[in-house]
Amino acid sequence: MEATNNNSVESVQDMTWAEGVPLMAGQYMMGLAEPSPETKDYWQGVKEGRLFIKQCSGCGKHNHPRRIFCTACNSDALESVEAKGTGTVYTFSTVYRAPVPAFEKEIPYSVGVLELSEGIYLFSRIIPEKGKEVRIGAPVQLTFQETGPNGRLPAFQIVG
Amino acid sequence: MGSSSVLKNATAIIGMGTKVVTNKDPRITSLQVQLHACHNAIKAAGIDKRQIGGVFTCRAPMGFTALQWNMRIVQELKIVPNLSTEITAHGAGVLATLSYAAMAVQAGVVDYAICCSGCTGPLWVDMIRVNASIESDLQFEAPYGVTTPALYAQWAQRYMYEFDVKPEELAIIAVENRKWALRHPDAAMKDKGEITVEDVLNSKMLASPIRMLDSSTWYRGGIGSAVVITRADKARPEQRPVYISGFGSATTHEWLTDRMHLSGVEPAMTPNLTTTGAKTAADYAYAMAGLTPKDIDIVETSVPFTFANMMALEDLGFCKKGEGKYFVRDGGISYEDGLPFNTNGGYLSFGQPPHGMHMAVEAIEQLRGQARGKQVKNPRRALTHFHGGPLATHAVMILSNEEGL
Ligand SMILES: [Zn+2]
Repeated sequence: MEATNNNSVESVQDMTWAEGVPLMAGQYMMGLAEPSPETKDYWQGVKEGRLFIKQCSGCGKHNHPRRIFCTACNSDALESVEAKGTGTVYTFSTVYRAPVPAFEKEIPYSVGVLELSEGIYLFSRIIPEKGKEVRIGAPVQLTFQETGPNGRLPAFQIVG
Repeated sequence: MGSSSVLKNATAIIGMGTKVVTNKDPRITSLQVQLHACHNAIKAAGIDKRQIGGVFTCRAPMGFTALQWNMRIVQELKIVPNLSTEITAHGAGVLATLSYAAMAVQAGVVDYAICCSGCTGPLWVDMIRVNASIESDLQFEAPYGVTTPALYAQWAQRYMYEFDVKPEELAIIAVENRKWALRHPDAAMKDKGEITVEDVLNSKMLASPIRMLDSSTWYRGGIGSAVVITRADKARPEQRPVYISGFGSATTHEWLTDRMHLSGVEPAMTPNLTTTGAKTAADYAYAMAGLTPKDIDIVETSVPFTFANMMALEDLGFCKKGEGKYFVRDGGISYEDGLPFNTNGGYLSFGQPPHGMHMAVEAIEQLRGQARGKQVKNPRRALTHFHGGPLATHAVMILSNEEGL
């Protein structure tokens, strides 16, 4: 796994099976993190600054963007729909020791699980209000920010 | 005691082998460390290796990539098993190998089975870097810069929020674990002295609310462990048999975020990050053994953070959900006179050799009266709990030194 450290993102892009959708995780995880067929819409949305999740055309339930079958009715008729981009902090952690050097300049940063208004949970960066701490239950709003070596990713800003 | 299963104490562990390496020894691979353990276990059992019909291994260890790990072990042992497979469920799979082996010998498919695990990953790879990529969703979690503590911290933050648990209450677990480690010759922290609650609270914050001394320490080396098992009626006194009284497993997810999408099934009738699969696994194990937590003399768990140890005490039934803080604060796991808990120092102070069966080894040594650290006085039953991160997969096994029901 570690042997992939010196490869560049570009050098393996051609090898992915996701029709050219680029790798989005850190270089240290390359080969494992390709967008998969069921998440292509999500990553295309990220490129356009939009957040796509899944919705079941059978029962209407929203699902996490990586779902293949609806967790409520077990249908595979899941469609990508744009999320409202609002929710609350379910839990979080503020990271003081980075996993790899590429994240060190951002320390400390907060990561956590958001409960979106659509009723699904999404892991993301959480940006506190200036001078304040992240807290459970805080309302959040979708934004995008440069994240580690991965370019612009969805993140959530605490609002009010 | 309630009614128990026909499986209770029907299977015996009749040979155990280990191999310990530290960063001061010549560097060996995960394959080597497991093979040493296997041969030591076969020798201890006093059987011919060709009698072994079942080989159950952990998944490929970190730092040693092999798609067919079980076949590598079989290939080196030069035996031809009837049943052989690897149990993939992270650290929980390590303990679950004994469950599969027990079912195989009880079904009469094989007479003897060997279970092995072990990893010298910390001698070969950067565990801090590698581990988070094994325990996180590489598309939806890892790109945000998660570390292993940051993943577990999601549970910790929510647990402390819902049950008003204070860092100083969690710190007691680190303090008590350390005392056991100081007496164990193989413990990573054996020379580091006692610690106080203040030491824990003042240690470096890694990922809030988890501090350095709330965390396990990577073992500077690795430990291979193997056991040979058979039916209880085939065990001989000189093999110092230890009996499998009950076992259970529960896998709830692979990645943290997906645990929140589990609902309508125990332990997540409603989505939560406060009750783990340890509860479900323990329920199965107690039912098979016809025992309750009151019947347990020793508890060994492989969870790697203070908060997770507190949750484990609750989920394994030693106190009610949310009351772990009172249990710990009131001396429930006191080294001096509490429930013997992580008697080698646990992951916090013995250290975390990845894929180790060493917490079960500790339980077996205690039950045989052969503890290398502090011996608990006349224990009859030990509960072992192994888990794979992040609190994703759990195995519980109750062991006893008493034959029969
Ligand atoms: Zn549906």
